[in-house]
Amino acid sequence: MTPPKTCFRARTATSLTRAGLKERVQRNAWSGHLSREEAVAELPEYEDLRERARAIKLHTLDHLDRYLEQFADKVERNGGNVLFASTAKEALDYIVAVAERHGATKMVKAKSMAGEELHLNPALEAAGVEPRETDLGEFIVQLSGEPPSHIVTPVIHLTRHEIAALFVEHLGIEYTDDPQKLTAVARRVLREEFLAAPLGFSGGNFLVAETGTLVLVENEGNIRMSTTMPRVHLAVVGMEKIVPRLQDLAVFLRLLPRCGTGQKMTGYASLITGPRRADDVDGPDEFHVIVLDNGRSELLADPLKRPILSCLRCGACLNACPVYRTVSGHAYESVYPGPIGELLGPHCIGTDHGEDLPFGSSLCGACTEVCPVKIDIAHLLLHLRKEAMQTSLDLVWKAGFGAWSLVAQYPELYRTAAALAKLGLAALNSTIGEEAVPPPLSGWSHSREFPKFAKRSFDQWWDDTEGGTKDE
Amino acid sequence: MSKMEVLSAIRQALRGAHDGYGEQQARPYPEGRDPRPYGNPGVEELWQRFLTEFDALAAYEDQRFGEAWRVGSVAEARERVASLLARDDINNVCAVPCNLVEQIVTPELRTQVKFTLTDRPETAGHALAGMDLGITDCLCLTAGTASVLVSTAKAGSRAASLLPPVHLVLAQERQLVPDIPECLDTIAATPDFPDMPAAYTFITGSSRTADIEKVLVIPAHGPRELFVLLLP
Repeated sequence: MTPPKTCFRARTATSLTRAGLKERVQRNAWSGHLSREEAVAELPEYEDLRERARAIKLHTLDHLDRYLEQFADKVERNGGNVLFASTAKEALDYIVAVAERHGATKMVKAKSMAGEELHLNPALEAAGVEPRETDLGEFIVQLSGEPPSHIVTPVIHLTRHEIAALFVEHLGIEYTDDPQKLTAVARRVLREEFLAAPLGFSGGNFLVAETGTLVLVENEGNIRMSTTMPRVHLAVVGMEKIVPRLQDLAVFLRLLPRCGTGQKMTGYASLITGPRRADDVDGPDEFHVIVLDNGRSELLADPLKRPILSCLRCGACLNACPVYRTVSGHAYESVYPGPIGELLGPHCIGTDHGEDLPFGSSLCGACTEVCPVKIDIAHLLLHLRKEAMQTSLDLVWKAGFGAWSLVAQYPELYRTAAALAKLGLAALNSTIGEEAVPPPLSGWSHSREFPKFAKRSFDQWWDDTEGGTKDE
Repeated sequence: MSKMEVLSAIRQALRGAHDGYGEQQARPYPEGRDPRPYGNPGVEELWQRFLTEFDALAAYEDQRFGEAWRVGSVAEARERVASLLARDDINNVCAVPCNLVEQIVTPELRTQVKFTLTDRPETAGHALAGMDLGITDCLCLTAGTASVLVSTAKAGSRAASLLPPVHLVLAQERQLVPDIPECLDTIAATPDFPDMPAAYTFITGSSRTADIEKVLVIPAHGPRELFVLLLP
């Protein structure tokens, strides 16, 4: 059976007992859910956009090789570089090599889930490059040493008091829990870093094949800073983020801000096409895009799972999910928590022990309902559960019933087996206690009392009472 | 090479999946165009929509983070710019070289402040770190979201709309479009397309964050105030 450390249910216990966490995440994620509801209700074409977004994404995935090649050609013709990385390691090696070539000791980082997936920060530190997270939420989790707990709002799990304490401890400021003042501190500290860092790092919301463009959506301006001021811009993007044409953004830029943060449009949406040109007055000299597979082609190969790759990472399914809102992001122990994380986890995207994540769902379907690209998350979760059972419990299941059918055919064997089971259980009870039945039965007895064996078997009773005709 | 490795993994995945799925059945690109139910109203209505959306972003609690002005003449535009330049907190001003800046920000206005034209690398990028106001033009403005689309084409500095705490956008009525899709049409209609300049940015309101307990804070890392000046 799964050791407790890697068991989702065991991990939720930690989240559920952290003071106030459940209430806080419930409140914050629910408010995110409601503002999304309002924002899409204002959009009469919402359902048509969803349908079109899904169709564009599925078409693109069916022709992924063609569009990625077109994108790479276009970027290279514009003077940029594209690396196709099969694994996280290939991506990390490339990033570290670029840093070394520039003798860089610092990197300003915009928020990137793909970057989290690579575990980029430890790799940079090991190579002597200091990573500095610049999204306010990511900046805070970097101070606290925790991973982010939401893919759009990383510190959804922290109070302003906890954040204030982190600022006092790490930045040496006077205590204040005023979000305005705390943000001003981060602005001051990070502005210097933006101006000094030779390397800027970002993820990417979309890649446009037709033009070789990287699209980045944000509110704070830290992505613009990270991709404008340093001499080198490095971006890591999952290979499924590509769309064929510039005009496809007409669909996606109407959906993503509304579904992600309940906004009609985010503060900034940058369309970056290569490094600065010869007659440009500013912008980075080098532009590198790392197109990441890292397990995605496995999803592509399965027609049923392929739509998972159309995910925009808007986070709407997290906010809509009653399980996420109760247990918060860290319980998933995955870069991608919530329903989308449950789909990616078993395929080693975002975590290497996500086999049981599909079981962390009530299958209520709220995730399916809010998904802007109409991924049928709930049914896919059901499918993944079936797969998990087939691969992990199939043997136990078959062996169990095989043994049963053998034993049931021979009365003597059956009697002996029953007597042995009774003895075994009695022995267990007397040594470790009532609930201590061995796995897989412990799955049952964990939350229920295990039924007691009768004092004697039916056979014995039959003999004793001569087939029930005689009183005892 | 990892490029071939990744592409062949993709091709294999697609081929494998096409059993009973069919190469020829790979889903086609959807027909028609993205839905745009908002029509194409005239300038008056577009401006009213722009203003409503702009004000919803610029006014927060008792604070104000910029204004959108529509003026009837160049003279009036110069007055508005003069009022900004007269602010105590605006001393260092940069502007991207463009027709509207030439026309509106006269030599006389430029003498009111320390003025920099971002027409070469030495007067752009990091050189703008101490600026109080950045003036740019734009490609278009959207009524539906109150966004402005700025670009690096024609020596537009990327830092000019990013580093200074106040950003002023100069625009003309003909640049007003209903929504984001029309901005993309405008880009697609530029002569060099599908070649694009290094950066286009949609700017919608001031730089902001709500990461701490979902409380809205302005500014985050970019400009605190955004001004839009619309000329005939």
